[in-house]
Parts: sequence; C-alpha cells; structure tokens
Amino acid sequence: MSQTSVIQLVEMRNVLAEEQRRLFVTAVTNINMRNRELLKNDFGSTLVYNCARDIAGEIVRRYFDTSDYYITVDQMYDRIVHFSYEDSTDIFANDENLRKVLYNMSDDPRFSKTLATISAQNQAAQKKLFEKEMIQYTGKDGSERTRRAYKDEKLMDKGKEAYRKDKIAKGEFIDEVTGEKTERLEVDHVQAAATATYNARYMSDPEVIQALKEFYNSPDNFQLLGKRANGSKGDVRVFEADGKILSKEEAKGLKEQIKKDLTQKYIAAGDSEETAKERAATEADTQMTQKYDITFKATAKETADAVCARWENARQETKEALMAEGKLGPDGKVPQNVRRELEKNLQTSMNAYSKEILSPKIMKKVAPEVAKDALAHTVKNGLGKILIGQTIYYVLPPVVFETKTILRKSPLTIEQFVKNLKKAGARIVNYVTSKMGEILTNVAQNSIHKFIKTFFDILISLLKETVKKLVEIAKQLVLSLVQCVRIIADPKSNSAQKADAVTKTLSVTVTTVVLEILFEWMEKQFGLPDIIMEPLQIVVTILATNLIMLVLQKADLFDVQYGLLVSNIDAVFAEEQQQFLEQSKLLLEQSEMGMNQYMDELKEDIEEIKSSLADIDIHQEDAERDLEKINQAFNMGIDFLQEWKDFCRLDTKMEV
Amino acid sequence: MGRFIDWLAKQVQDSTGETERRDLVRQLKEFALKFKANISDALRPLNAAIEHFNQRLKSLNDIRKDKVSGIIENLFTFLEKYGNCKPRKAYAPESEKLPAEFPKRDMEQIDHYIGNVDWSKDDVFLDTFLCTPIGMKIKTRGQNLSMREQLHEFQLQMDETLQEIEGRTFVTKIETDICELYIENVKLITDVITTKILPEIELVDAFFQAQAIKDRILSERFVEDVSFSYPISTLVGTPYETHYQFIKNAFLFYIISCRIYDTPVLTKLLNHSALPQDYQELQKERKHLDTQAQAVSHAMLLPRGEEK
Repeated sequence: MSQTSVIQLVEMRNVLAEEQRRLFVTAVTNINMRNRELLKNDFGSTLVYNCARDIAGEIVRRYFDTSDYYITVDQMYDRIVHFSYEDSTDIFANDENLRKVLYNMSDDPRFSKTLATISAQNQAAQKKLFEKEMIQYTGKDGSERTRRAYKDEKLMDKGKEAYRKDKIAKGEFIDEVTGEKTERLEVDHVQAAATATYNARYMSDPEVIQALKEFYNSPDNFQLLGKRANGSKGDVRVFEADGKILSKEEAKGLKEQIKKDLTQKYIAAGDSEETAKERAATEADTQMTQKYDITFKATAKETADAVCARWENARQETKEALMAEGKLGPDGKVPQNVRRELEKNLQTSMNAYSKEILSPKIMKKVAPEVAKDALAHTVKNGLGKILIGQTIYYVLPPVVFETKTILRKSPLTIEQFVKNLKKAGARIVNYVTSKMGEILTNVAQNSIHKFIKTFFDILISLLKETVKKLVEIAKQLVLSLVQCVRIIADPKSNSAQKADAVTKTLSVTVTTVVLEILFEWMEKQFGLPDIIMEPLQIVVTILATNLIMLVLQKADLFDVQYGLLVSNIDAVFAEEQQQFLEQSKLLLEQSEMGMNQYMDELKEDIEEIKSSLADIDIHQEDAERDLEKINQAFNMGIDFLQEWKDFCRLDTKMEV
Repeated sequence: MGRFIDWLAKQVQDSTGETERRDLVRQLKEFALKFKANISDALRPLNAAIEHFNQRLKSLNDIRKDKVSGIIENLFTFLEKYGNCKPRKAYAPESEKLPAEFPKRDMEQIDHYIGNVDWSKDDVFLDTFLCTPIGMKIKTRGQNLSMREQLHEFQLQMDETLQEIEGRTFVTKIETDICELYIENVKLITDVITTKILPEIELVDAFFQAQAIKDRILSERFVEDVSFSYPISTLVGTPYETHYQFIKNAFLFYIISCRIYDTPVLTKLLNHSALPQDYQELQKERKHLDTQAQAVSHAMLLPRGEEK
C-alpha cells in the first residue's frame, strides 16, 4: 500500500472547491448561452427557413394531392427527426400549423381528386334548360306547318317583349354592344338559351328549374343586339379538350373524328352504314356535350371570345352586315370596345345568374343536396386520408425512433433484438393510446374542415364569374372562422394565446384574399400564363403569410411571445439550477465519501505507526521508518538521511 | 369614478409591463431577505466547525509550546555532545482560522441593484409621459427581462454560496480531524521521547564516558589532560551498536520535534493551494477540448440552437 499523506486530503479539498466553482461557471455559461439563443431575433433567417419549408410542403400538398392528410411533408419530417416521447409540443396549435391550415383552403383542380370528381359529376349532370319540341302553326298562306320551337317560347317572348318596351320607354333602344343605334335591333339572350343548362344533380327541383328559366328570360340576361349579329351569334358554345379552349374548327374536327370512330365501331359491331352513321352522330353530340362542352362553366371572356370568333369567321355576306352594324372592323376583326362590351354584358349576366343561384329561394333547395355530396366526398375521399395522416403522425415517428434506438445498440443478438422490439412495441402502443383523444379530436376537426371546404367547392362549381370569386373568398373566411373556433375551443391555450392565434389567422386570411384579388387583376392586366402565375402566387402567398406571421409575432400584441420567452427563460433557469444543485450535491457526496475513506486509511496508517513506536526498542530498532511515515503523512519536509549525515559529518568529540 | 380610475390604472400598468416590473422588484426584495437569512443560517455550522478547529489548534499550540519545547532542550543538551546538532529555531505558532464572514459584497450588490430598478412612481409617470405607453412598454419589457435574468443570477449565486459553505463546513471538519491526527502524532513523539529516550540518556552518557576513559587508559595517556575524538559510526557492527542506534533515534526524534516546534506544519499543510498534478492535466485536456469544440461550433453552417 502506498504511503498515505494529509496532502492528498488537502488536494482533494482543493479539487472539491475547484469543481464547485467550475459547476457554477458551467451553469452560468449554459444559462447565458441558452438565454442568448432565446433572445436572438433572427427575423431574416427565420423568414427564409419558414418560407423554404412551407414551399416544400405546399408543392407536395398541391401537386401530389395530399391535402386530405392534414399533415405536410415538412411537418412530418420534423416530427420524425426530432421525435421524443417527452416532447409534448402540439404542432397543431402552433404558428406553423396555422399557416398550413390557411394554405390548405384551396387545392389545384388539376391534381385534386375531390375537385376532379366534382368537375366530372357536374359535367355529367348538365341538362338542357330549354328543350325544343315540334309545334304546328298556320303559315301566312293559311297552310298548316310544323317547326321546332322552345317549349318555353311564351316565357321567352314575354320576357323579350317586356325588355324591348322597357328600353323603348327609357329611350335606351340602342345596340347594347356597340352603343349605337341600329335599324334592326333584337332582344338577345346574353347567355344563350340554346346552350343554357342546369345541374341535374343539385337543381332538379322544378321550382329551381323554373327560377333558372325565369332568370334566363329576365332583363338580367337580355341585351339589344343587331339582327345579324344576333343571328350569327346563335347557340355559340365553348369546348375544351386537355385544358385548352377549342376554336370552332377544332371543335368541329373533334366531333367529326368522334363520329368517324364511332361509325367504324358500329359497322364493325354489325350495324348498317346508315344506322351506324345515325347512331354515331347522336353519340358524338352526347360526347361533345358531356365531355368537351364547357359552356356552362365558361368565363365571360371565354364565351365572348367564342362569339367574336364566330362573327369573325362568318360568311362574307354576314361579315359585311356585321361591319355595317359595327360588330366587325374594316379588318374583319371584332373591335376591342365591342369585345369588351360583349364580355362586360356576359359578366353582368353571369354574376346575376350566380346571385340567383345563391338566392335563398334556390339555396334552400340546392344547399341540402350540395351538403349531402360534400359529406359523401368527406367520408369517401377525406376520412380515410385524415385517419391515415393522424396515424402516420402519431405512430411513424415513435416507430422510427425505436428502430434507431434498437439498431444503435450493437452488437445485437436476435434474442436481444426480439426482446427490445417487444419493449419498444409496448412503448409505442402506450404512447399512441395516450394520444388517442388528440387523434380523435384532430380527425373530427379535420373532417369538419374537409366537409366545409368541399361544400364550398361544389357551390363554387355551380357559380360563375365575379360572384364565384367572391364565394371563394367567403370560403376562405368561413374556413378561417372555423379555424378560429377551433383555436378558441382549445382547452390547452390561454386567452392571450387564443387572441394571438385568432389575430394571426384573420390577418393572414385577409392578406391571402388581397393577394388572390391582386393576382386575379394581374392575370387580366398582363395576361401572364398559368405556368408563371401559379408558382408566383404560391411563392408570394407563402412569403406574405410568413411575413405577416413574423411581424405579428414581433409586434406581440397579446404578449404571447413575451410570455413564452419569459416562461422559456424561467424554464432554462429552473433546469440549469436543478442540474447545478444535483451535480453539486453529487460532487459533495462523492468528495465526502472519498475524503472520509482516505481519512480512515490515514488514521489506520497512523495507528500502525503508533503501535510500532509504542513497542519500539529504542536501542535495537531504527525509528526512522516510522518517523519518515509521519514526516510524509504531514508533509513536514524533513530529510532524515541528510540530517543524520550532517550530524555525523564531524568526528564525535567527547569532553570527558 | 375612483374605482374606474383604479381599474384604468391597473390596465395601463398591466399592458406596459409595470405590474410585472413591480412584482419582479418585490421578488428581488424578498430574495435579498432570503439571501441574508439562508446564508446566515448556513454560516452558523461553518463557524461552529471553525471554532472547534481553532480550539483543537490551540491545544496543539499548547503542546508544542510547553511540552515539545522542554524535550527539545533536553535532547539538544544530550545530542550536541555526539555530533553536529543544530539548535532549535524560534517557535512558530500554528495559525488559527478566521471565522467565515457573511458575503457583504454580494449583499451590497443585490441591494444596489434593487436600488437601481426600484423606480419611484414619479419616475414611472414621467417615463410613461415621455416615452408614451408603447415606448414605456418596450422599455419596461426589456427592463423586466433583464431583471428576471439578474434575479436568476442572484439565485444561482446564492445556491453556489450555500454549496460552497456546505463544502467548507465539511472540509473544516476534515481539517479538524487532520489537526487531531497531528496532535496525536505530536503526542506520540513526545511520549516516545519522554518514556523511551530521556530516561536512557544518563546511561548512554555514562557508557560513552566509560568507553572514553577505557580508551585512554589503554593508550597509556593521562585521563585528565588528554582530549580525543570518538567516531560514533565505529560502533556499528560492535557489541555497542545499541548505543549508536540510541543516539541516532534520539537525533531523529530531536529533528522531528524541532520541526514540530519551529514550523507551523499544519498551517502550511492546510494552506497548500496547488491542485494535484493529474487533475491539472485533466483540466488542461478539458480546456483543449473546449477550444476545439468552440472552433467546430464556429465552423458550422448553422449555429447551434438553430438546428431543427
């Protein structure tokens, strides 16, 4: 055993003091560092970071139709990477999720399954509003003749007559497209009666059909137009194939192709050529109406363009007449003012149509049908994905976490792996079970969101032009309000947090609406293609949303951020203080144990010396060994050997 | 009306952070009292331990001064006849420990801080007037955050002081034990000298005198007027080696006694401030690692804390 020494104890004492000091300095440094992190206000990089994440999330959401999962890829990534069982942060209640919910108010019609289904259902449900029939009449020469006429001819004539009289009475009997007096003016349906349809899926009620018929024959859908222009405008239709509006020739070509294909098909099936052609012509008409005719949902501009195209491509004689009426310019093209006026009239009529749809009289009948379909979409398309989203969100991260943890333990035998897997499984089940309440609440809330969103999407699909846009805005506001209700009903947030979240939600909604209008205007003004407008709108919306959020966060109107900061600072301190106290206590305990143990050893050594010296024969035994031990034990600094040499250096002189 | 004004004042104070500021000042004041009470309480056992240590030290000094001093005298008289025996040096007492004092400077620092942040109502009114409520809110918020941090710092400082006092109390007890051990050793040395060496001195002296006379007679010289030298080491290996051993032991005890008497061994020992070498090496290594970690941290693309 090595020689014990008090100096060791003293050094242990010094180490204790030094370590105590170090622990304190570490705690202070940690608190300062963590506080600095909390107080750091890096607006710019936060903005960039959030925008980048939101853009990534939005691209996947929009173009991979993941809206119904109600969890974006970036949120999922974060969750998987940073998962821990102790993490109680509810991502569904933070600013990030507020933004995600706001983005999730609209989908891309090209990629959304729900929107595609709605569109297909609407297309298939179009029924002619005004049917024709063969009627008999007496000709000028008194002979009985037959002609095809609208079943509602009387209603139409009555409406036209009233309009004509009204205009004459007001002294406004002029061509309402050119604004000029024309000799032969006719009352024209702005939205052609021949192409007017109704959605049999939602508007099959006779009262609704009658109301629509009345609208089509009301001053809201009439305009005074030169006879030739009216005649050549006829039943202008708008066709669309593969997202592109077809010209008259293209539509005609498409129809011919369909007819040709079908004729061959029917002949091959055994029909005679004549029968096959007849069947093919009827079927081609049906297909053109059901697949390609988008007149019912065409915009005012698209319809006006179709009318203008028809005028510009009319026969020479008609063209000359149209030139005389001022509908065509000397170059054979429709002048801009005419085009604009035509579009304006269509827009006014379409808006009036939309208003009619939204009138309580019609909505009373339509809304329940729309709601029924919205519910069906929610259950059929939405619920499954919502559940999957929640399951993935709550199950996948702990599974990944456990897998990582198990694989990190190496080397791992099969038995250990199975044992760990069993334990991990139990932990995951416990965790998911503990989150069941949250999962169900989220599923319910997301289902409500999906239902409202789909309800509005169907409703919007029934509307036209500006009103359509307004209802889109209303949809965003309603969904925002639903989100606000969700926030207000959240039992885990305090009043300030709720007020803060509601303010942010509403502010961002207003911003989004303003941007929506701005982009609508830009699209019209600059005619930028969708390929530029769409990504631009996504990016600008995300940027503006984040900017507003951060500005509001910075403004901290309800002291939420400040409260959060204070509680974080307090939490940091509490954590570091506890750690400091625990480590200090441990240090003291370990030092006490070590020093006491050493003291015991020291005492044992001293006891040995004591007993050795107590029994020493001073004449026979050398005391140097024991004294040296004492010398060393108390660090006395004596060199006994040297001292003895010094003593003996001179000869011993004895005075006798 | 009065109630309404009170309510309004409270709303303004809440929104500008004045209520929080007052609460923090109150907390600081409460903390100052707590600091005083807790530290004073913790100092009591420490000072009791120091007092006890000083009592034991006094006993040690008494033994050194009275008992050790006497035996050194006797041993010197004996030993100087047989070798180059240096006389003892002056007595150096072991130093008592001073009682632990209340950390006045820390307390003053706390009081001074409270004095600075405890704004009067007039100050607050004037500031609100000059800065506007929004300006005041921003100012007070910053002030409150700073006060909160300061309060935390004071709290941690108190924790550290208490831990340190606890450590010192334990260490003082250990030092008292060391003192006890030292006293035991001093007593042991004096006992051995008193019981085993001093009673033999006359006998050993007599032997050497007889030996000297014998040697002179054998050399046929007169005993009275002839002086001679006797190399003590020549006794080694002879039947008289016991006397050589006795003188050596007496000398060694003399040396150690002198050191006990003229050197404050315990004081020097307890004042030893160097850290063990391996600990210093460890610290050095830790410092290197810290520097390296810092360098790595600076070189990172994203500073720590921003990693998500």
